[in-house]
Amino acid sequence: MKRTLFSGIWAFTLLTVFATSAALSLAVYGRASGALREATRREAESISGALRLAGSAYAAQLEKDPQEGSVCILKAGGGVLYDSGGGETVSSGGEAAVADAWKNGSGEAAFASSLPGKREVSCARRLSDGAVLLVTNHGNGLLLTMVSLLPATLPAAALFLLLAAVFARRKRKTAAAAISALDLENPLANDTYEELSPLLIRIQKQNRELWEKTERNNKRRAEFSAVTQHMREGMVLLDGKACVLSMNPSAMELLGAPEGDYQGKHILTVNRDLALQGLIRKAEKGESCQRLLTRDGRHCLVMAGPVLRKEEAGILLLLLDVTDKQNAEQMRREFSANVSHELKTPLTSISGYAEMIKEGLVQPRDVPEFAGRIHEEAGRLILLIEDIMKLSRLDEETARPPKEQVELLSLSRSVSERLAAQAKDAAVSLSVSGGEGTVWGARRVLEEMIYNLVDNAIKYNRPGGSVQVTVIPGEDAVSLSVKDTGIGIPQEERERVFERFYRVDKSRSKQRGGTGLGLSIVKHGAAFHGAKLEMSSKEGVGTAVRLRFAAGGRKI
Amino acid sequence: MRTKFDEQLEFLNTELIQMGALCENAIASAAKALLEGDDELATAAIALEGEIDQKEREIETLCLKLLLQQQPVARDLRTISSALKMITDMERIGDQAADISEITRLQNIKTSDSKLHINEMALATIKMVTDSVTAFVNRDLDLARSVIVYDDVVDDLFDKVKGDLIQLIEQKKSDGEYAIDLMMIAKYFERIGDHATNIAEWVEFSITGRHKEGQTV
Ligand SMILES: Nc1ncnc2c1ncn2[C@@H]1O[C@H](COP(=O)(O)OP(=O)(O)OP(=O)(O)O)[C@@H](O)[C@H]1O
Ligand SMILES: [Mg+2]
Repeated sequence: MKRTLFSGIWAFTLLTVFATSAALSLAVYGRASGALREATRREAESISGALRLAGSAYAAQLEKDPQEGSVCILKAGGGVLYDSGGGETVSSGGEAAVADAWKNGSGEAAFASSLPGKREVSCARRLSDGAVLLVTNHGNGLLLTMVSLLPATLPAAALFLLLAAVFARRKRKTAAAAISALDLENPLANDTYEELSPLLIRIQKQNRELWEKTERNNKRRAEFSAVTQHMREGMVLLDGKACVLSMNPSAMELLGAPEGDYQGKHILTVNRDLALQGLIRKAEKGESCQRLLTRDGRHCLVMAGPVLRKEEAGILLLLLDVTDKQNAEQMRREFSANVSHELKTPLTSISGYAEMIKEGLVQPRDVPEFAGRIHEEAGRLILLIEDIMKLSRLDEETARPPKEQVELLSLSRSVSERLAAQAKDAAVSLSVSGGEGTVWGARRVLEEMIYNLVDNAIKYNRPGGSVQVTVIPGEDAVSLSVKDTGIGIPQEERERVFERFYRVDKSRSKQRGGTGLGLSIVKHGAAFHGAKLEMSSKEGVGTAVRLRFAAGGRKI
Repeated sequence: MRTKFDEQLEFLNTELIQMGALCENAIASAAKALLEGDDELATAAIALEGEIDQKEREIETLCLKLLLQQQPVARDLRTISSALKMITDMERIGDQAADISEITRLQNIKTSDSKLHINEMALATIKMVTDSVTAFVNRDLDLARSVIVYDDVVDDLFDKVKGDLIQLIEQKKSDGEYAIDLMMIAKYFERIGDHATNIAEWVEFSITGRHKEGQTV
C-alpha cells in the first residue's frame, strides 16, 4: 500500500518534470529558430551590402566555420563562384531558397541539416550582378535543444523528486496520525480529513453489526450463565485437553474447589480424585459414563459425556449431590428393617405366651401373669404404632397441626410435672427455669418434643443426676435447652440418634425401654417449626439439646 | 503466544499433579486399610505403587527431553529441576504406602486399637501429602510453608506412638510382632511426612528460586 501511494506521487512528479522540460524545450527551440532565421537574414543582407560596395573581391574574404554554417555565391549561369564550405553541393534547403531568389530576388528555407540533430536555415539574395548569395546557418534541433537544457532540468527534476518524496512522507505521516487518532468506536464523531469519511462510514456500519452480534452473544451467554449459575446441579465443560471452559458454582462446591478462577486451567487443578480422572479419560475416548464420588462424607454422582463438534472435542461433566438421597435410602432401608424387627419382637412374645396358654402349658393360676405379660407387650406394640403414626403424621405435609401462640416456659413446667414421678424413680432432680418465651407453633407437637427431650434426659441419666430445662427469650429468638448430667452420646453417634429407631447401646436402651423414635420426633418437630436443633454432649458428663425458635408469637 | 515449550511445560505440570493425586490416593488407601482393616484397600494401595513408578519414569523422560531439547534457563529450568526432585519424593511415598499396606495385610494389627496415636499420625500424614500436592497445584507458597512446619507435628506423633508401644510392652499387653509392625508403620508414616516436606520445599524453590539449603538457580 505504501509503495503504490509513493510510486504514484513519484511517477506523477516525473511526468510533470518531463512535460515541463519538453514544453520549455519547445519554447526555447521556437525562439532560437526565430532568432537564427533573423540572424541569417541579417547576415545575408550585410554580406550582400558588402559585396555591392566592395565588388566580388570581398567574396574571397568571406569565411565561415562549417559547424556554424556556410556562405556561397552562385553564378547566374550556374556554377559556384565562392563557397566557404569548400565547394560542397548546396543542400536541398539551400536549393529551395536559391530557386526562390532566382525567381523573386530573395528566398528562405528551413530544413533538417545534414549534421545530426541540427536544423539549417538558408537565406538567398540575388545580387546586383545577377549572382545569388546563399547564407546557411545551423541551429540546434528540438532534441538537441532539449539535451542542451538538461543541465538545468536535471537538477530541477531531482529537486522536485526530493520534494515529492518529502511531501509523500509528510502526507503519509499526517495520514497515519489522522487514522490512528480516529475514534473507531464512534467513527462518525471524528472531525478529520474528508478523504477518510467513506472509511469511517464503513467502520460505523461494521461497528453496528459487530455490536449487535456481540450483544446477541452476550445476551445468550448471560442467559446461559444465569441458568447454570443458579443450577443446583454442578456443570463443568472441558475442552479437548481437559481444561476448564466453564464451571458453575455448584460444581465448584461439589468438587471442593476453593474460590478462584479456573477458566483455562486443567481439571486436575480443581479436583484430583482418581475416580474423576478415570471418568474423564473414558469420556475422552468418547464413552459416556457415570460414577459416585465421595468427598468429605458427601456423595456426588458425576456423569461424564463427550461433546463432539466437528473437529473439536470436549467433555461435559454433570454433578448431582445425592448425599440426601443416598442417606434417605439407607435410612429407609434401616427403617423398614428396624420397624419390622421392632414390631416382630413384642408380637413373637405375645404369640408365644398365647400359644402356651392355648396348649394348656400354663397353670390356671399363672394365667393372669401371662395375660399381664401379653398385655404389656401389646401395650408396647400400641405405643410403637402410635409413635410411627405420629411420625408419619408429621411427614405428611398436608396434615399439619394448626399453629398458635405457645408459651414455652409454662409448657415445659407442665411437661416436667408429668414426668416428675419418673424422675423420682430414677433419682434424678428435675427443674425448669428461665423466662417466658412465646413462639408460633403447634402446642401438641411442641409438648411432644419437650416431653421426649426431658424423657431422654431422665432415662439416660445416672442416679443422683439432674435435668435442667431452661427457656431463654431473646430479641429475635427463643431458645429452649434440656441439659442433663447423664451418660452422654459418643461423637460419632450424635447425628444418628435422630434417626428413627436408632439407639446407641441397644441392649441398655432396651433395658430402659423405648423404641428409638423420641429424637426423630424432636427432629421432625423442629423442622416443622423452622427451629434450629443443636446437640452438645460429652461422654460420661452429660448432654444438652438446644432448640432455637424464632421469637414473638407471630407467624414467620 | 504459546510456544511448543510452554505447552510441554503445561503437560509436565498436569503429569505431576496426576502423580501427586496417585500418591494421595495411595497413602489415603493405605491409612484407611490400616485403620479399618480393609484388605481390599490395602491391595489397592499396593497396586498404585506400580502406577506411581510408571508415572515417575514417564515424567523423568519428559524432563530429560525438555532439558536436552529446549535447554531452558532461569524459571523454566527451576520448574523442571524441581519436578525431577519432586517425583523422586513422590515415588518414595508410593513405595512406603505400599509397604504399610503389606504390613497391614499380615493382620497382626487389630483395628480396635484406635486409641493409639497411630490414627492421628495417619491422618496427619495424609494431610501433609494432600497439602503439599495442593500447594504445588495452586503455587501456594503459604501452604507449602505450612506443610514444612507441620512436619514437626508428625514427628511428635511418631514419638508418641513410640511411647504408646513402650508402655504396652512394659505392661506386657502386646506381643512382639504387633509392636514391631506398628513401629515400622509409624516409621513409614514419619518418612512419608519427610517426603511431603521435601515436596513442599521443592514447591517453595520453584516459586522463589530459593531452597532451604541455600542454593539458588
Ligand atoms: N440425654 C441423652 N443422654 C444420653 N443418651 C441419649 C440421650 N438422649 C438420647 N440418647 C440416646 O439416643 C438414643 C435415641 O433416643 P430416642 O429418644 O430417639 O430413643 P429412645 O429414648 O431410645 O426411645 P423413645 O424415646 O422412643 O422411647 C437413645 O437410645 C439413647 O441411646
Ligand atoms: Mg427417648
